[in-house]
Amino acid sequence: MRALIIDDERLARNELGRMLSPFSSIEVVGEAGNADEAEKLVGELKPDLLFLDINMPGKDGFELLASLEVAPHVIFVTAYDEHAVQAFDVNALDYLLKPIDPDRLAAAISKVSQLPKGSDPMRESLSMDDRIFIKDGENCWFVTLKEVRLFESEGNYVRVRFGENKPLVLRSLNNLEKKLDPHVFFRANRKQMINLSYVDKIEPWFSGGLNCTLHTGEVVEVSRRQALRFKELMSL
Amino acid sequence: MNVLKRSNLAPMASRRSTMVLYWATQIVAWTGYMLLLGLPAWLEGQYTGRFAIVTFTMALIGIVSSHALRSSFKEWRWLDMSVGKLLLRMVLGALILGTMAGLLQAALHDAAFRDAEPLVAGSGRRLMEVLLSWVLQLFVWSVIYVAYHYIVRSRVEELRALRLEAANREGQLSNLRSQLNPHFMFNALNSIRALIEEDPERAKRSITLLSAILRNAMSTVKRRTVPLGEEIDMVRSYLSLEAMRYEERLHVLIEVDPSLERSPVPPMMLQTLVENAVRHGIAKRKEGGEVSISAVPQDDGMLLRVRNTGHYVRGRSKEVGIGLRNTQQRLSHLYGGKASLRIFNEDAMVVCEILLPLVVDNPLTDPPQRTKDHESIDH
Repeated sequence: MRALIIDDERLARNELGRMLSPFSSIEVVGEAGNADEAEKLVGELKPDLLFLDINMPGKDGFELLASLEVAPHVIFVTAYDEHAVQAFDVNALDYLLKPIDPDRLAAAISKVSQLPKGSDPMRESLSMDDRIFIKDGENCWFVTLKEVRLFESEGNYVRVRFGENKPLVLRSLNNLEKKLDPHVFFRANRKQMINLSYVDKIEPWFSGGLNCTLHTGEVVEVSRRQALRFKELMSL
Repeated sequence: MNVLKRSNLAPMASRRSTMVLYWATQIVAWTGYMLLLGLPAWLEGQYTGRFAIVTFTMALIGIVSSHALRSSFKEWRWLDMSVGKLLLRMVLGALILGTMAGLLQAALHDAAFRDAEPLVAGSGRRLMEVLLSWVLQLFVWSVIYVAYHYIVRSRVEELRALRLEAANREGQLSNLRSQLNPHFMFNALNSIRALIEEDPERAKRSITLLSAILRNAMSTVKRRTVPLGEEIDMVRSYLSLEAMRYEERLHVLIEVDPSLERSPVPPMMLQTLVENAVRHGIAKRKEGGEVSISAVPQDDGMLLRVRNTGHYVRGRSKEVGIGLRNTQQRLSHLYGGKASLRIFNEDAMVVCEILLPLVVDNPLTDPPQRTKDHESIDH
């Protein structure tokens, strides 16, 4: 796995680098001292794994993740930050406390190694196994795209519906649509994009439109223009 | 204060059950008491037919007069008075209400038993006996009333004292925790771990610095003031460790007038301000910044200034607001109104300024329970 170390302290980066050297599965491809540097390096190097300090000058670790299109696997490294750790959905989180315990580091790495690998970095669109990082107020989630059933545009934000959650993220629906696989995520109308694998029932609706009912009971109207594309897509 | 006490004694939820208990006790106790009083006469065969009605009338007089007594207790807060004042009121209350109760009984007796020797208009001795017995009964009643409330109250007090102690301990713990600043501690330990490999000599020096800070944080819990020189040493140790972490991002300037080296200052106060300066002036800025500390004599005291790069906006950080308020409270506790704290922006720097008199207001006014707490933490 190609890893990036992100920490504002040089000594801390050095130490983690040294601790990682015995792990043959981990190749440290770069280091960043703040979120902006890190964002640039993630774009250039496409790492599989980030070792990420939460407290950094400028943007913090969470804000960095939220600004990335796709979140690589992340192991958080923090000195003492009860609040940040609590804010997290524990399942999605792996974190190490400084000074790092070598055994816990080994455990975290073996856990990450077993996770499905993200999409091929050379591909343009996102795969259904890619994860996005969402931060809404105090709450944070890592969401695999296939878990998302509905994207809804709300002003400058997009509401992401998955499971019981519906956080808002600062992205545009049009941008998302370009990145997502059109065979899975379908733009039903101006405001909504549905994950077709969640569709339960389809009924004809007024003036050539369609009505899709999702497994969860949510009803999404497909506009007339999109209904034509929908039929094309389905007949393939 | 009284309001607080009363609401503690009878919280809303239990007020109803207290009333039920009160009336039940009144009815049962007075009726039972009157039954016992009348028992010998009944056994001898006197007023056989009217025994019940007489007993209940007597009990009713008892209930009504003692309830009036209770109302007096409550209305004028007798229970909150000193023992002497309370005793005087108990005697007076029993005299007045006992006389009224006795007269009522006598009047009723005369009205009901026209054939018997009249009490009111008869020989004064019988009437006196009746009045005295009521005075005595009501006095005993109020003794029981007071005893009951003293017991309840002492239990509530005990509970409150326990809670207070727990809160004090909690406060000390969080005080110690905040003095240790875990974020700083663990980051410093992490840096030292790195230094062990890269620069063992610096690692050793850092451990010495860190232990100085730890020792200081633990011992200052007990002390009211420390010499400024000592506090500055602590700040220097702290900043040297932070410099290891922030490297070129942290610039430090310390200027202390030598004449102030031995002047007393509250422990950890300067340290707290410097930590804030680092947290907001350095840690949050990618390019880092400067922290400067100065102490100069002014009037009859000294002027302490902590400056850091950045811009202060009132109310933006809740944490800073609380920190400043705590410092302000400490100052007013130690120096009365003679010390002052202010924070303002100047030339792209945030300046925190404290004006301290050289003498502590009154070195012996530390609240007694604090001194006691500090002793117990040593054991």
